[in-house]
Amino acid sequence: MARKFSTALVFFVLFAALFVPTTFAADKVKLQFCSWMVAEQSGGEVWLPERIKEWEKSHPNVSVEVIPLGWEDTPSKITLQVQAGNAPDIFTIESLWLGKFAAMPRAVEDLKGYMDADFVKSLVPAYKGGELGGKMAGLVWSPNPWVLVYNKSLAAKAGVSGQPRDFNDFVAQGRAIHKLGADIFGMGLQLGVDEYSADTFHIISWPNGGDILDNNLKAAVSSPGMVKTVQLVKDLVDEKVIPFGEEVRNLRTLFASGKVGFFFEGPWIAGVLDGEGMSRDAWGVSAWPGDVQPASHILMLSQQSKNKALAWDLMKYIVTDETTAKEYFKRTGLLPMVKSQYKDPQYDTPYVKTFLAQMATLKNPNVWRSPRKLEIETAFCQDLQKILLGQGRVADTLKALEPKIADILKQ
Amino acid sequence: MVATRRELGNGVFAFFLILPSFLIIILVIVYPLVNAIVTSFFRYLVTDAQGMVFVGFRNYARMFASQQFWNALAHTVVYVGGTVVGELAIAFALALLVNVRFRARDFINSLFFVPWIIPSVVVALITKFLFFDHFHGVVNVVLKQLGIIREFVPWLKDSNLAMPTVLLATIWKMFPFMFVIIYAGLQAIPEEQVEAGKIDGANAFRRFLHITLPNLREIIVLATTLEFIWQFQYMTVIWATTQGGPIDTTTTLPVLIYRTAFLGGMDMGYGSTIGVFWLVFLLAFSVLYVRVAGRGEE
Repeated sequence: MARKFSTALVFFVLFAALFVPTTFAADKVKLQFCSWMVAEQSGGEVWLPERIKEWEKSHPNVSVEVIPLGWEDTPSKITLQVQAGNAPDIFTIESLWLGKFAAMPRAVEDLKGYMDADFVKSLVPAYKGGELGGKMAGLVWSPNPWVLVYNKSLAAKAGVSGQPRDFNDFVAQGRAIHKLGADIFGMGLQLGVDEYSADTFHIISWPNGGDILDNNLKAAVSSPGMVKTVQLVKDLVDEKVIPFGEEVRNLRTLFASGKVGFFFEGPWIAGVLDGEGMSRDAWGVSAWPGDVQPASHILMLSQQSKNKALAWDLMKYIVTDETTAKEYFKRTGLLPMVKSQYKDPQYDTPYVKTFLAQMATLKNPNVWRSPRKLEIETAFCQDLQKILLGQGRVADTLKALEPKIADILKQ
Repeated sequence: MVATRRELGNGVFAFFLILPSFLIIILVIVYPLVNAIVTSFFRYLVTDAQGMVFVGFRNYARMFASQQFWNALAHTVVYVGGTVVGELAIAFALALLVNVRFRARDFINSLFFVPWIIPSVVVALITKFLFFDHFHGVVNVVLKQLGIIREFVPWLKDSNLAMPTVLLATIWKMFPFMFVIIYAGLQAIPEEQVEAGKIDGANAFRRFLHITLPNLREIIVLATTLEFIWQFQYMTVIWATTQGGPIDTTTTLPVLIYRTAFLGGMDMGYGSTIGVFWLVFLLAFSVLYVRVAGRGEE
């Protein structure tokens, strides 16, 4: 009996020992840095960890765990980690998620207390892209406006400039490129059911006065401007000028394969197209003749970080270190944040000038201010697909969408 | 009768041995289940500062009034029914084919198992690649070369074709399980019954109807019940190919729950509501199915 009891006790103790924390007091402080730029074929996946190792050399008591997290997974995974209380010290977001994380309880530190006047003065104005509601929710790492990317060879064969003067010229150039072949699309638009597709739709709806939500955050999808834009997109999809239902990664593959004339992207496209095997001489960028939303990469300091000062030091290093930024630009195309670094001749290119000029037209979509952004944009994209598949008339479907959006806003 | 000290000792010993498993079951099954049921009565958006707010049956009212929910339920029935029937038909046909002795039988059997060991996400990527509707979709290229189609077909983007396409991918992925079970059942049919059938003059079809099927009944009920339960929960192929689109035509209940609870505002309250309904539906269906399908044995 005693033997059985002691056997059971030993067994139970061994089992219980599985739940005893096995982390002992470590000599090194551990920081976690999370980004999709180290998860994907972006050009930064090798360079960034190397540079972080350099930073560690000047902080011998700190070890940085570089955590790759895919772009699509970032909002949901980081949200769950914040809720679970184990968010990484530093995580990367894109502009379209700024509203979500800035408003999220216990998520991000207000960086106003960390950014002194001299530091702020050293940055390009795009640093304001990290500010929301009076809070500096994040430190802009790469200022990214959307621009038009075009295939030089297709544009030349179609006899167009690749640099549209206005919206109508853009449509005309797209149609001209499509005439080169049945399998050639004049332009690529993200028409998946996701927030990215809805966000980039603003670029073509704004010139027509269309928007998803108005300035008062009321549904505006049935406005004449939006109806006009959606009707035009439907016509272009029916003409096969735009491929139906493609999301961003497929569009990049199609573009790299020479099947798309124009599409909208940010400065990261250089590294992405390198990864797709497309020569940098084969494509160019042109300014969009209108407003665009930002797609900046922003570093956020977790409110849950136990080493905020160190984490801030690492954030500053990643954003401002000249050697890091210079090579990062070469490999990824992403621009630096520090004004003085632009004196380097490597930034004196039409590529950089196009993006810098486009930064003057940055505008946040109204829907970014809504906590139900994803649900609203999903509803919009689903009804847009219904229209594009011929399962609903443009005006009627958009009219019917407005109460659905109102319901979502009420939830 | 008073338990002896020895019996008590044995009981305590047994209790300690099962205690770890019992704790794990409580942690991994019972606690989440109870938590989900409780959460279904609250408004709880993970990203909302309000936290959990008790709303009674409001989530259930919202669910039953939601066309999206009923569509997802209908799609689930189609997806699950289509997958199970398709798997059964293919698995049965293949099992009958290889149920005769021939040289490379074991090798052929092992080939049939390949889809099962390929991870579901890889199957989804293969499906996307095969059914891509632009220049390099293999299916489109082959069909166009054969003159069966004139233009590339948007298999995964057409609202009428997306569900059959993901069904096909799922059937291909999952049929080996059914195949193995049915094949084992065929091998276990007593030879004497088959011989007796032949002596009595029964042809192959009548032997199949009156000998093979009755012998396999219990196995088929078991295999299909398991498949129903698994397919009700399966979303990997759908999520990795169409993400429930186009226009929600491949959105099943698991996809709807995932989108509701783990994306965007992360509406855990409403997501739990759909999850509770799904659990009750699946339980009721399983009990009913086993009762009806197993009735013939009596």
